[in-house]
Amino acid sequence: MRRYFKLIIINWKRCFMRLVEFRLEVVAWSIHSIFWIALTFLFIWLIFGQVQSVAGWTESQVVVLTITFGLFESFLWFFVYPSVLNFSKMIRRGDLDTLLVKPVNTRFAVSFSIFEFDNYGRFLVMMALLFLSFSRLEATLTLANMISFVLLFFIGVFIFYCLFFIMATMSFWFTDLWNLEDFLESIVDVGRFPTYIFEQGFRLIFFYVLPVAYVATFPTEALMGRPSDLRIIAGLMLGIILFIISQLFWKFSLKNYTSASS
Amino acid sequence: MAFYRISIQNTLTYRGPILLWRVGNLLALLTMAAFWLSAKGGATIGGYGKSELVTYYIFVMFLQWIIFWNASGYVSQEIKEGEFSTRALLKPASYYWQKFAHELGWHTLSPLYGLTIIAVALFFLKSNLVFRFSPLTFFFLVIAIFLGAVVCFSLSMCLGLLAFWLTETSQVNSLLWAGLLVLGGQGIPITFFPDMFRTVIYILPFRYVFSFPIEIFLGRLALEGILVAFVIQVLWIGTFVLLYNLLWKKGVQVYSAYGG
Repeated sequence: MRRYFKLIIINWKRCFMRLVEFRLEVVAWSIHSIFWIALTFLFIWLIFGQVQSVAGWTESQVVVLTITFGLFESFLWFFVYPSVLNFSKMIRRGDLDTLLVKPVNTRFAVSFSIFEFDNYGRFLVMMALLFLSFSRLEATLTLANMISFVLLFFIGVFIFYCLFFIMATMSFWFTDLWNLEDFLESIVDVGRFPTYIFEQGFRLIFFYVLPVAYVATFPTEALMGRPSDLRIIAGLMLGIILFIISQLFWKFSLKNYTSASS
Repeated sequence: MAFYRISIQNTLTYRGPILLWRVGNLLALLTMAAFWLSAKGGATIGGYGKSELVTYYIFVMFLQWIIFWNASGYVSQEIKEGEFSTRALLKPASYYWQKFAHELGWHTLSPLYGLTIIAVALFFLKSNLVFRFSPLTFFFLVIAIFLGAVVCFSLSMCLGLLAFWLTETSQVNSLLWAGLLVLGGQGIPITFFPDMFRTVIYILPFRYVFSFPIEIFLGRLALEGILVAFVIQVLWIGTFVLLYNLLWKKGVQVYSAYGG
């Protein structure tokens, strides 16, 4: 366990050094992502210039939801997307061999080898905006709400890591999934809005089957003081089930792996 | 024609990725439709009824497949990686028309992969569709879509050529996305903007890619408005072609390829 923790730290340091090496690009990227945040808020402003609420959510609530979504995306881009996409690419190119022969758990190696720090600008801006916008929510910020928010947030990250890992593992079978990134993003994007916009059937699917409600809706509701205990338990169970499925699928697919090179 | 044929063949090899994109498009469409149907506002929202808004986004999805001719990524990549020498400078064919044929080929076939997606969308949203259609509006629509695609393509070629001077072009390329999304009606109808913004939007080229064809489709423009918009589309195409030629002349002088 200690060895794996050490490996994460080493990879973390390596990726951070790479970031420092390309400072100008990082600044440009940060400005770029902040520009897109501004556009998102412009959209909210324009929409709520015309409507009073969406699925019962007011403008202030949608603002907090959007910020939570931004934080979630920053986290996914920190390690989930880069690792999963790199994993898919390694299968396609036959590069996975190099990891298979290393004296380390291969799933660990593909999941924690790349950390993208580019999104730190967006993450910091979103954190600041979250604190600023919370005062408009007309809800009391309690320690219990904050803990529920953090728990649901990270349960969501874990669920999506497992889901994306399963989808990337499909590269063993379908070798032309080079646009997997766009597809994964389109799934997460559904969580940009309150999941209550969907009618009952779809809503249940997006709550617990393709659980985009864990992207922003459930964490935001936790901050608003709505009951979250059952959602935390359901999310944990869902995460464990998805992890087991992803592990079984990974082992099964690995047996069928044929390298493209050696 | 040869470049067009090659593009068609390439598109045929990308069946899997195109299918993934289309499923992503469907998810986005269903989300936007659910969003507007759950919105609480007045009788109309931004001048549109809810069914009109749902129809609006179905048509946006369809337009994305046929009108979004964006060559900037390919052009900047070829310049940065030195492929530009063999693909543009050594071939006895205009680079502009090569890319035009490529985009035409891609956008001829890739919408066909989306027909199933349209069918699924219509199945879920059939009770929220608005059609105001006549042979004349269809004729105007076809012209508006073609000219809109050329506006988008010509602008993207100019942005792509900026790679002669810039080392990092992805941010510049995303200006096209942002422009179309916000000011072009792709993300939200332009009637949502306050009047003073709308004046600027009517001048900029972005409206003439997405919003203008949708406005024709939904029967929101009088004949005079359609004809004026056609003139503006042609003017923007002329402007971008002139700018492209200027950037090309200046850019080729500073271009240097690496490797053999």
